[in-house]
Amino acid sequence: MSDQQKTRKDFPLLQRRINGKPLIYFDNAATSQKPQKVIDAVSGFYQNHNANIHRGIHTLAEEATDIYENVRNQVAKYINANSPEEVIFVRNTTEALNLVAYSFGRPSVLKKDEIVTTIMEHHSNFLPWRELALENGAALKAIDIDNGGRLMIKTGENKNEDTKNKKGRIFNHGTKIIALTQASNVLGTVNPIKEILSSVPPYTLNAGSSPRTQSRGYPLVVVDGAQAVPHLRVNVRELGCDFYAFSGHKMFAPMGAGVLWGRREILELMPPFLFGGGMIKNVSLAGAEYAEVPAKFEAGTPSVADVAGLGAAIEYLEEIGYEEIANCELSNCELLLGELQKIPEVTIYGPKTTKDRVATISFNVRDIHPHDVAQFLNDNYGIAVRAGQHCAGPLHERLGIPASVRASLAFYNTEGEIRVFLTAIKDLIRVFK
Amino acid sequence: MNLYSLTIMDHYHHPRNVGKLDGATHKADEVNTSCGDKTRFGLRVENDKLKEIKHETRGCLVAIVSASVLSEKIIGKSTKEIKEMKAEDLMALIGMELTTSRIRCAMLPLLAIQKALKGGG
Repeated sequence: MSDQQKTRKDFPLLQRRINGKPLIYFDNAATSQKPQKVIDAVSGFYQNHNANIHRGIHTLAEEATDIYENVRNQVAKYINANSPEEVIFVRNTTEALNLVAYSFGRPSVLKKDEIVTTIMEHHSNFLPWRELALENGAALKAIDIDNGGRLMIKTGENKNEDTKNKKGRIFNHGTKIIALTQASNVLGTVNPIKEILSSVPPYTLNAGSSPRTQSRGYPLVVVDGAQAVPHLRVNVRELGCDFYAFSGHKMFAPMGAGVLWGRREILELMPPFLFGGGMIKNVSLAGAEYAEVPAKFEAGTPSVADVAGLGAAIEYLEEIGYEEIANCELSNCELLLGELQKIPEVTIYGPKTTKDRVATISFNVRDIHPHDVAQFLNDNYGIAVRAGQHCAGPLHERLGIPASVRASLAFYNTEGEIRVFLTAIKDLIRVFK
Repeated sequence: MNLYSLTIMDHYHHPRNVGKLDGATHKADEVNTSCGDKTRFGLRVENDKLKEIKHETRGCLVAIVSASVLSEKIIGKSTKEIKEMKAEDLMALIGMELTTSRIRCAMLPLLAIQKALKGGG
């Protein structure tokens, strides 16, 4: 049995049949399937350790707290954070990005300032900034892509000159925030974050204790890592960003546990985002004093079982290894890209080679509606793909298409599955002709 | 009925009653915001009965087939009957087995027709 066949056995759901056919799950960019180890961590928490965390004296509360805080340590090591206090548990990437937009953005982005984002952002890294810009009277600018689906970041390359100043940098004097994704959830492009950020001096803190006083200095950089962490080894300190957000559920962990990493000194000067239990030092009628990071940003009972599952998922990923993950995914990606390009009716959006890419491929089949493609693949071949705009309206507008079909692979997808998929696409074209 | 049966595919490739209706008494447009599918219906009603119907539909197989089948099967019905049609009635009429998300695709033409009859267009 090959290593891949063995790892497939770790995922109970991959054994399912859909419409009498073995499931072919190509919707990993939406959410990944979960290995038994993760499922066991979640049910094990409820079976053996369930209690609310912090300040409980009893055994179960201590155990639950230890489980929760140990995963924080694990995440910190996994992404190479300076300390566990820089790891904030949230529900998902969307919540993490909103936290930054509300807590840092609201008080620090002023009238006529600017926020720079990209045309390929998921709505979760676009709408919080759009709303912030509208509310505070700032401008929102988007870095464009070239025809190959790559960000136009080199001098003179960007048609949208608004996003660059004369020195060819992606920020101006008034740029307060740069928000960009590490990997596109539609195009599969992996953006050279380190290279892009090399022209952005480190965000420096001014004297003072609130984001409001941070009106001068260089922009703050927020990276959406949701589509990168399941495929690439991420080192937040090397990337050169100030915030990094990702969801557990796309990296084999349960839905309900995500992470916001932030540089501690910035987190410390930000006000809390949500108020309530678990985030205070003391409260009286006369006033309230809030807890230190990370507790300051974790109001209310967190999803402890899902965090336990996230810990198990990280362990699982470390066991498989990112090298093995990249090998499996990119060889299948290469095959899929190559064969799809041989079908004249198929148009692929995004890079046509596996260089700086994850195995997420969006495409359309001429004259066939994306919903019909997805339905046909499901009904006749048990293939799960996504059809629509994939929460990337501005990108679809830029591409000039109402919607697309997306096949997104994980390391457990096999070459055999790719072959069935290609047969299915040819069959679809025949039936719809 | 299978989604890709000959009858269904025939409606998909050759949708019935396509075009603009001269002398329409009722008109309406409807859009499915989740996928951008669009339909436009023109209806001619006489003595409270549907006499003639035409549509221009841009969308998926389910939306096109639903518009085509509906345009054939509701001719002669009273406006009251058509206005009271529900998702179940439509499914029975078009004979497709659909999941929740696709029922919305099928409903697009019916919503446009009902909107036209209610004077919303």
